[in-house]
Amino acid sequence: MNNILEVKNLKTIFHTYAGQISALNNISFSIGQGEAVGIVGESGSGKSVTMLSIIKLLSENGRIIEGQITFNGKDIRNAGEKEMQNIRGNDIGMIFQDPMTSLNPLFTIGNQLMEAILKHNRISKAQAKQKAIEMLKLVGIPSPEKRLSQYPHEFSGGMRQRAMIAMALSCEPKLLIADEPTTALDVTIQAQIMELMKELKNKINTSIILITHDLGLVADVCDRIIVMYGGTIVEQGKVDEIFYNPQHPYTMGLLKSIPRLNMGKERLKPIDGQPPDLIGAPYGCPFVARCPKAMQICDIKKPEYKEVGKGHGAACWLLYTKNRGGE
Amino acid sequence: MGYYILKRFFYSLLSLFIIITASFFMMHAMPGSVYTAEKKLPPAIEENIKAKYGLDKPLHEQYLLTLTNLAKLDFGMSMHNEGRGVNDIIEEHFPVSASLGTLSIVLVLLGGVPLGIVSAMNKGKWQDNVSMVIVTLGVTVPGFVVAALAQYFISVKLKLLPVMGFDTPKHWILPGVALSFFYMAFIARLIRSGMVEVLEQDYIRTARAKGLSKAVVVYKHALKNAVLPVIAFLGPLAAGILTGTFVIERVFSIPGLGRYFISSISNRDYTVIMGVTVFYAAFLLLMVFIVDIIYVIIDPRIKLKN
Repeated sequence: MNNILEVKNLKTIFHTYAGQISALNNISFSIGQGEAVGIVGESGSGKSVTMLSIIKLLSENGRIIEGQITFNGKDIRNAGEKEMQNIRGNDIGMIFQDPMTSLNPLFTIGNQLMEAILKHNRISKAQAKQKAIEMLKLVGIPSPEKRLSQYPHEFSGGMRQRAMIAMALSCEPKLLIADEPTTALDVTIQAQIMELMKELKNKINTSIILITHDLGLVADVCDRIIVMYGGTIVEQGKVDEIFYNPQHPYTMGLLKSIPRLNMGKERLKPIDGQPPDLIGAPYGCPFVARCPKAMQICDIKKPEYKEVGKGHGAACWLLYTKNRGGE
Repeated sequence: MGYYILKRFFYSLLSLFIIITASFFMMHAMPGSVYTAEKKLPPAIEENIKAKYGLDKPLHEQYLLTLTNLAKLDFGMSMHNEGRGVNDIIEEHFPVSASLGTLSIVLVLLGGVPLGIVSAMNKGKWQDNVSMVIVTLGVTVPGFVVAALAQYFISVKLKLLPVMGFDTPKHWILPGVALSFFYMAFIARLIRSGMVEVLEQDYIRTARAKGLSKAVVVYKHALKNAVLPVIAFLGPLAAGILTGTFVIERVFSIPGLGRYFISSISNRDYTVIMGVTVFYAAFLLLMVFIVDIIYVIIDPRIKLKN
C-alpha cells in the first residue's frame, strides 16, 4: 500500500519540573495517499504532540526517544533542521487551532502567504503574488487582490482560518495536518470551514490529518479515525466501524457523549473521572481508572493493539477475553 | 492624519506654556539674583543694570514680557555673559550635546538590542547569565560612577583614551559609553523579555511550520514584535539621554549645552535658563511626537484616531 506517512512505535517525552512526562507511548499508524484521517481524543491525549513530533516542532523540553517516522518513503526521525525546513510548509502543511493568534499581526496576509511560496519555489515575486491570489480564491476569500495587502486584524476569525488554510496549501503539500482547525471558531463558521476542507479534499489530492476532539466533525470529512487516549492509540478503524462497532470502552464513551437530535429527554452520558497523569512510567491501560469494564489485568499490564478486522483494531484486554457478548 | 498633527501641535503648545510658567515662577522663587556675586556692586550700578534687563519691574510684568518675547522666538540676551544672545549660545553649544546624544542612542541600540536577542535566544544558558550580569550592573550603577571608573582605569591607568575634552572621535568614546550604559542595559532587558514572550506565540510556530529558517523567524517575525515596547521607550530615552548629558558633560569637560544650562542656573542667568528650558522642552515634545508616528508606521493595529 502506498503510504505517505508511517509512524512506528513513536515515544515522545517532556522534561518538566514535576518530572518526566511520557506524552506518547508506542504510537503506530499510517496515512495513505489521498486519505483523510481524523485523530480524536480529549485534551492532553497526545494528538497535537504526535503531529509536532512528526514535523519536529516540539517545544524545547520535548524529545522523541524511540520510534520511526517515514514520510514519503524517507526516514525523517533523525532529519536535521535544514532538511525539516524543506519539508515543512512544502511537503507538509499545517493549520493551527487559533487563527486569531496564529498570524503575525505586524505583516500583511500577502506577505505571510507569499513568504512560504517564495521559500519553497523558485519563482519571481510577481508569480508568487499571482499564486497567493489564486490560493485566497481557492479558499473562498472574496476580492483577494485587496485582501492581500490587509493585516490579520482586518480579517474575521473565519477569514483568518481560511487564510491559514491557503497558506498551508500554497505549496501543494503531500500531507495537510489540521490541528483543531475549528475549535476557536463559532459554530456557523466551524461548519463553513469544514465544508471548505471537504471541498478541498476532493479538489486537490492531498492526504489530510484532522486533529479534533469532536467526533462529529471527523465523520463527515474523514475516511478513517484514530482514537487517542493518555498518549496511546486506543482504537483505529474506518469511520463506520468506529461509529457502529466500537471496540474500546473509551470510544464507546466518546460516542455516548455526543448529543443527537433524536435523543429525546435522555441525558448525555459523560465519561466519569479525569484523564490520567502522564508523569512517570505508565503501568497498565491508561483508561483503567475511568473504564466501566475494567478488569484486574488492566491495572497491571498494558494491552497490546489487536486487529479485529481489516484496518480496525483496538488496544483493550476485552478483545483478548473469549466470552464477549455482542458480535 | 493632518488633523491629528494639528491637534498634537496645539497640545504641545499648551504643554510648553505650562512648562514656561512653572519654570518662570520657580526660577524667580530661588533666593539670590544674577548680581549676588562675591563683589558687591554699587547700588546705583545694580539699579541701572536691573532696569536694563527689566528686573526692576513687578514679577507679573516680567512674566508677560518673557511670554511675549518667547512667542516671538526671541530668547533675549544672557544676563551673566554680557553681550551674548541666548539663541547664539544654543546654536553654539547644542550641536556638541546633540552629537554626544546621537552617539549614545546609536550605542544604546547597537549594544542593547543584540544583547537582548542573544540572551533571549539562549535563555538560561551562560550567554544569558553573562548578559544579565551586565544588564544588572548597567541598571544599578549610575552614569557618573561609570564615567569616573572609566576615566580612572582606561585613561589614567591604561592610558588608552583621553580623560576629557571633546576634540577628536577618540574623546567621544568614554562619554558616549558612560551616557549610554544605563539605557543599553534597559533596552537589553526590554528586548529580552519581549523576545522570550514573542517566541512562544502561535504565529512563531506558524512561521516555523512554513519551513522558514530560524534566522527569518527570529529577525523578521519575532524581532519586529519584540521591538514594539522599545519604541514606546524611545521618548523617555531621548529625555534621559538629554538630562544625562548635563552630568556627563561636566565630568568630561565637554562644552555642550547641558553644562551651560547647569552653570546658568547657579548664576541665576534668568534668560538663559528660560531659553534653554523652552528649547529642551520643545525638543522633547517633538521626540515624543516622532515616536508616536513611528509606532503607527510599525504597528498596523494602531490607527491615528481624530
